Amino acid sequence: MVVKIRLARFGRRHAPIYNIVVAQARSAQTNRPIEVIGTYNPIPVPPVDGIGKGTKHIELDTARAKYWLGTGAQPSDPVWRLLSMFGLLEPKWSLARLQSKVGKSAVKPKEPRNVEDVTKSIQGNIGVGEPGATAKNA
Amino acid sequence: MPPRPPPMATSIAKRTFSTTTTLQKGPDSARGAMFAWLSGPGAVFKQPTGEPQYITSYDRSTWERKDKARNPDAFVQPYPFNRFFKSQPVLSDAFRDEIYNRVKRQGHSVRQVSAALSVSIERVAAVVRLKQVEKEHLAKGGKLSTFLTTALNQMLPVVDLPASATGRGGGGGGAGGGGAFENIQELPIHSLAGRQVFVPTSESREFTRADAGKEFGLPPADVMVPHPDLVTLAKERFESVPLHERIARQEERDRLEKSWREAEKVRADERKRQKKVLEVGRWKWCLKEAETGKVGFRYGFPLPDRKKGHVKIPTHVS
Repeated sequence: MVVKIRLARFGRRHAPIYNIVVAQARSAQTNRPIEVIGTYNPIPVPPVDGIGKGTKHIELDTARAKYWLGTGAQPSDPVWRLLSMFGLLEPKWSLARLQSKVGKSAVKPKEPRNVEDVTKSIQGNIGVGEPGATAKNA
Repeated sequence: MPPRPPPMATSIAKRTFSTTTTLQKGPDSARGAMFAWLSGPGAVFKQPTGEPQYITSYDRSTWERKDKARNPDAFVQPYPFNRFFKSQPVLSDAFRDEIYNRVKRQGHSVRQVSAALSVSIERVAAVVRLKQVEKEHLAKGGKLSTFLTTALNQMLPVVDLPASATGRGGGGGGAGGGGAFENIQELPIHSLAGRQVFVPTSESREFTRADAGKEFGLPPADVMVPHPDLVTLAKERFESVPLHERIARQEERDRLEKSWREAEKVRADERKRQKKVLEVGRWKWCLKEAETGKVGFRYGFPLPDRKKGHVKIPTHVS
């Protein structure tokens, strides 16, 4: 069975608040999960001075989230959005939106910035013909 | 009923509308005296001279300047009838530059600079912040509009850098005259200290400020004061601790404070790491590090928010 990272709703009517849980995919929302790794309050707290944006609070045990992602746990779409804010996942839905608007060329996969420098420094240390030297130099 | 005016015999140009009597017009009248004063001793008030010219600083009978050393109050009282209003002195530009240099270039702490120059901690911090803004503005190619500063410097007592601070002779001047700019040891009044407390003690018991603080639930005044170090220094001087010993102790205290500040910085960074605020889309997102086992709503436990005896309205503003 698939392990998912998903939200479990708590709170009362019109006042939702979620646990971020790791649970079996087929288990009910109210079941006891494998683990609770955080909370998410979707109701924004209004700013103290009344000016500006409201704040939504997310609490997350990032170490456990990383562990569960490593084991292959599948985040649900809302959790994907939250985890991408913590920098644990590539943002999915903003990219998809951008692609549909501007076209595929707008979003390119990330490449390491100094690929050439790294190759050069490696090649500087490794002599031609040694194992590890690239075919170009040989 | 006033008598009727005579019928108009002369032309309209000749008719006089003035109701001023001769008594009000002559050189001996109040008006005449005023003009005499304005062209005599009052002439000094016509144009700004570059320093405050308060009328209180002049002797009202002889119209000569009072002695500044003997009547310092007369030189800071702009309103003659309001002796409770005193002009507050301002720092000269050289003084503010020196404060900025000490904090930003020489790396002294705000507290050290405040103690060395007798300027309150808040003022030192404000001077550094505003100087920084000024320098950034100038670096961007902005211009300073100094009109207001110049005008205020002519109306308020300006305090120059004390001669002792520069290490050179001369300087001083201004209203401060080399003295302290302001009282830097003002005890902040905590609201807890406002209540009346009756504490019966025996006469033989020594009741110190520390004991008083304990009664109010506050630290003692010697610690609450902005510069507790200066209190300690004064105590040591009073106990005639030798100079080299005092210097060594102060260095030790400085070292302790520095290490404490570094530890505080580490703690603040840790807090910052654990809490991050993003601004995405319509909302701000407060991302906080949590710990599994402590975070989240527990299963099998109902929310106690409808239980009797719980305070349900918020008791504080977050």
